[in-house]
Amino acid sequence: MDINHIVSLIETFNNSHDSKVINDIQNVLQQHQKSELGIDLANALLSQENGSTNVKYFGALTYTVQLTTCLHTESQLWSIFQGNLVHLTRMMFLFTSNPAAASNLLVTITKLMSNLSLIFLTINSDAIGADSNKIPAWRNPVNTCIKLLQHCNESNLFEWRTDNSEIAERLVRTCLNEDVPYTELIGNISSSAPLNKLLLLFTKVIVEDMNKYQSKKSSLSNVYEMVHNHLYISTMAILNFNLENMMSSGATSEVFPCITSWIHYISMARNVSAHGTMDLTEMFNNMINVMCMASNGSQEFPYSDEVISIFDDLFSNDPTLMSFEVRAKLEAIFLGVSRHSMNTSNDWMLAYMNHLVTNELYDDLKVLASCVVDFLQISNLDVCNKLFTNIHENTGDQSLEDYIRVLLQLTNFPLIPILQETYSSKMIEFWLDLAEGYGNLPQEALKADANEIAENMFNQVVQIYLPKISLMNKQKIMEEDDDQSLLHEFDDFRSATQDLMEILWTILGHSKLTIVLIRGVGQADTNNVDLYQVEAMSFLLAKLLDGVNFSQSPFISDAIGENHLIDNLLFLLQTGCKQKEHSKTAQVLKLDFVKATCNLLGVMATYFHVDSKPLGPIVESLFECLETSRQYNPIEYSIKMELQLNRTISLICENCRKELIPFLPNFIQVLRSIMRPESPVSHFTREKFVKSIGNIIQMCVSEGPEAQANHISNMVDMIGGLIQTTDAKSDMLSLLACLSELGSGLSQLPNDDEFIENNPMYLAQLPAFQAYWLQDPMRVKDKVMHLVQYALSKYGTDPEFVEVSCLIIGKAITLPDDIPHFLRYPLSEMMSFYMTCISNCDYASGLPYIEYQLEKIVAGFKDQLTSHEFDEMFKQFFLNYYSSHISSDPDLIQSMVSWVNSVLEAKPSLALKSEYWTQFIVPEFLKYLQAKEKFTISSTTKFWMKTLNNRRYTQEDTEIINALFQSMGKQLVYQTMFSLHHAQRSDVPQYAELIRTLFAKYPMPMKDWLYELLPQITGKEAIFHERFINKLTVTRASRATLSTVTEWWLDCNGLPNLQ
Amino acid sequence: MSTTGYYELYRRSTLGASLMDSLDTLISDGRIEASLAMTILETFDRVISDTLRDKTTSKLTFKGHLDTYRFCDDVWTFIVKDCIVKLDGQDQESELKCDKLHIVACNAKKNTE
Repeated sequence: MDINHIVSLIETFNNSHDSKVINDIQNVLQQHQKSELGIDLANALLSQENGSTNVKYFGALTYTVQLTTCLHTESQLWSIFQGNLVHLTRMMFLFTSNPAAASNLLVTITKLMSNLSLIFLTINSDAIGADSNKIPAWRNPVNTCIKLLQHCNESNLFEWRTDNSEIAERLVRTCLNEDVPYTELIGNISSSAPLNKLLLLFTKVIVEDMNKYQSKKSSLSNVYEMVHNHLYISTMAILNFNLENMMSSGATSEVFPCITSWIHYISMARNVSAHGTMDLTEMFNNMINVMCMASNGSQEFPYSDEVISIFDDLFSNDPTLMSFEVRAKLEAIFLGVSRHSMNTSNDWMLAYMNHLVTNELYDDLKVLASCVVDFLQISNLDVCNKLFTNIHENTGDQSLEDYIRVLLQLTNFPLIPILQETYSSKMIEFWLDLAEGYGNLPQEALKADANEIAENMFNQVVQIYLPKISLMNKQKIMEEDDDQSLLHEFDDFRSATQDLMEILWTILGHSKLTIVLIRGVGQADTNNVDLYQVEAMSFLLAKLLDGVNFSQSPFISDAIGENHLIDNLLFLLQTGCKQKEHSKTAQVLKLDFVKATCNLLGVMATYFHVDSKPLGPIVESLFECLETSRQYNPIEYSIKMELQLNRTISLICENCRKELIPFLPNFIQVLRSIMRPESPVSHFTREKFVKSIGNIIQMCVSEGPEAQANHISNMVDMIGGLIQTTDAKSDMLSLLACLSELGSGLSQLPNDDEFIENNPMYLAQLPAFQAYWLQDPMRVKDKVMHLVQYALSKYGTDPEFVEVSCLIIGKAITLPDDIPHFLRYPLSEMMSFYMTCISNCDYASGLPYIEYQLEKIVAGFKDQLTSHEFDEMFKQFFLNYYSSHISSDPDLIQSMVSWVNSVLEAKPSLALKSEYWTQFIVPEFLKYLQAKEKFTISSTTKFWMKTLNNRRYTQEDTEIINALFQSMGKQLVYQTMFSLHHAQRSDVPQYAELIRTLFAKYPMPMKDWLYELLPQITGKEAIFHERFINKLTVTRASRATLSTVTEWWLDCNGLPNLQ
Repeated sequence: MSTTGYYELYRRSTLGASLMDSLDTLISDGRIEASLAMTILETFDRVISDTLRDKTTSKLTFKGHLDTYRFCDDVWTFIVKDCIVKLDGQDQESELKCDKLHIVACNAKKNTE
């Protein structure tokens, strides 16, 4: 081993940019690190007097490699232990003597500490500590460091080598468990700030490693005990000394990270070990003192943000780590009132908040808010009990009232939410939990005036949040900062407030919340209305009114009807859509106005069953906005507005079909206007508008089928006329989509019993309509077919045209037979259409759409189809294209297999009795098991599972399958296991499911075949597979099969578990 | 939960599964060791968890009939039937219907690092 060569390799490795060179050197260096000379190499590199930081660090890293991958004997461990301690002591000496000059040693020192931390875990763990011949337990690394450093101070630094047995053997062994009294410890750290820093770093590294390794190592209980009895005591002494002297001597940068790591450690350890519980009261008290420390005439708070950040972390993760007494003290400091003590003052808190607000330190204010609210959450249940129940007899009512007053004031923090303050957003969770807690209290435990207290308090909460969620604040955020994340945060805040209102509704009810908001929206007339307030209230109302049955809630309907709610909503809508604004902020707010109105109108759609009078102005306004929004707004906003308007129109049309019949001419008029080629309205809006008209036409039943057919025919004529006159491909596609949407609009029935009850005329006339459409005297079906064929004659190769055409022709396949529909084509006509379509289109892109229709045909016409027809379909749509297209395209293979799967699901005998079943399907689908594409494997394994285990099988079908399995079962098992063996990890579950099915259906032959086939497939002896086969037998096709199969797959491929 | 304090549940996502497939190939080819693959996956656990928490703005809401729920080992499982899932992107919304939605939810606050 040429050390100079290795040093030069390390330098090249760290400085080169050539990945090949780096890769080659890495391989060489790794070999050295893992070799028997690894420990010597580490010593040599760390001993290099003039070695660079890279070289020294690599030396420490070589110890790590030896520790983690090459450790076999106790003497090796001892050598590594000695070496790390000797080098660490030497480097610590250099660092403490001249921290500035030796600062580059810190990275190597940290690595050596990390190695010693691993050694600390290893030698103190159960397995090793018990044997007297082994390395004795190592109680306290901090003490060892101090003792060795003291010896180092007294001796020549050059003697600190691993080959000096006096130092490396005798001294190290002596110092290993030597005690350091408290006064000596404090004396050492008070006289040397660098040593103080290093000891804090060391203890931090150890507990961080404990956190890291706790789930990997199962025998850490002795280590927890060792930490509890020794390291914890030293660390607390160091930390408390640092905290107590922070004002006079300043803080070292390691104090707060060390505290954080210890809190995390104790939080973890107390859950896993009896020795994990360690009291932190003194430290927390000192931290509170440091937090409240103010310098420079109370103008500066040097450490408050650091302490609050730690408390924030603590309260959000493990608040009970802080004792009740300390929490009570903190409560008084934070709130100025305490539920436990009368002697309180929050002067510090007020001064600190004032300092943050004055200096615009909003990030620190955010952390403080998070800390305070997380703190409040700890005692939420206690607050709830004291407020509303008789459980605590001695509670002072006055202090509790003060407490609530402070909480309300915090919620109403007088700054802009999200941008400047986050109390209001954080407090949502608190109020939500308090409201839920109140809702869960047993009635008999409640105070006599509990309801009054709750209503009064939560009413104030509502009043606080209404202005907080106002878009005026969003406007200020946008004017102040262009940060999109703040806007998203504000929108999240508004949504959280909506959720809070939903919970508060359970306490305040409609009378004190919903009605108040309805009156709030509707109280002013449009000349005198505060649009921001109307928007905020509408936003909340949309949540509260969602799902309300207006016909059964007359008091809500009356409240809506008796004031200007609808007028003001429409005013808000008009302002949003039709007021010309140029700034981006105004546009965003206008869009929010439109969203709030549209959402509320959509939610209120069923209200118009109670009172249909407002429908006229509403529909008129929506139409007007839809037609003109592009004139007043830039395109990116008008598109979004159009979507909102369209959605609302759709919802209203879907829910108020009957009520809207008088407005049908207006709808048609608007449709004609937006369908004009020069209209700027989007294709999507046109299509959905047609669907809405379809909804209304569906209810035009009072004058019999012919009147309805007239409407439909007129619509088809209008759309058809446009199809025949347009040349633009996208326009023609959209017009086809309009035909499809018209069909959809006439297919859907509102999904509730109320509709059936309220529309007896519709139900009574169904047979007459059915008979009418069977004859179709106006030949609407033919007209539509003609239009589709016309479009396809122009763009038949385009997959989008194929998709929409298929949707139109197959529109009624899945509708129940008794529902009349103008697009109900006979099976023969549909099949003929799809065959023409497939022969003219681009097969690869068109097949998925046609295959989807074929699946629906099989499901819808399964009782009429025969095996012969199955053969014909299979031949015409798949087999004829197999060699030219399907066999080389995994997507098409998946389509073909999926279709056969749909047949097996609907009526398996169609496939089983097909002439292609044994000729083609079984042999080809067997081959697909070996496919590499995930979706082919997925559909093929599904096919075999459905073939083997199908609840729809008749006796005859079962016999066919049993005979099939007799003849090719072994081959199937071979293919499955072969494919599994060569599969990727992510495909293993698919095969495991198939193996599970095979074992469930045929356990006996499976076992024999596996014994025979697995050695052939894997090249490994049968004994290798015995455990797997036995385990599979024991799992008896349960869900445990997956883990058994995965385990076998990992063993066969020599791969790690990775889970 | 992995040793780094992050959940391993995203390893079952398409992205995680593809990463594991790639790592398998690298291990089989002798280009990396299993321990490095583990480190990579631990990094993946951390990064995907942090990224989903900090960088995503899309929201998903759902409505349906709660069929089954359980809380075991700090993991909530919900099976919601006849579910309508609304995906709210930054600019557009879409709606999906599904017969059965399986939700596995873990405590985000346990992610301590």
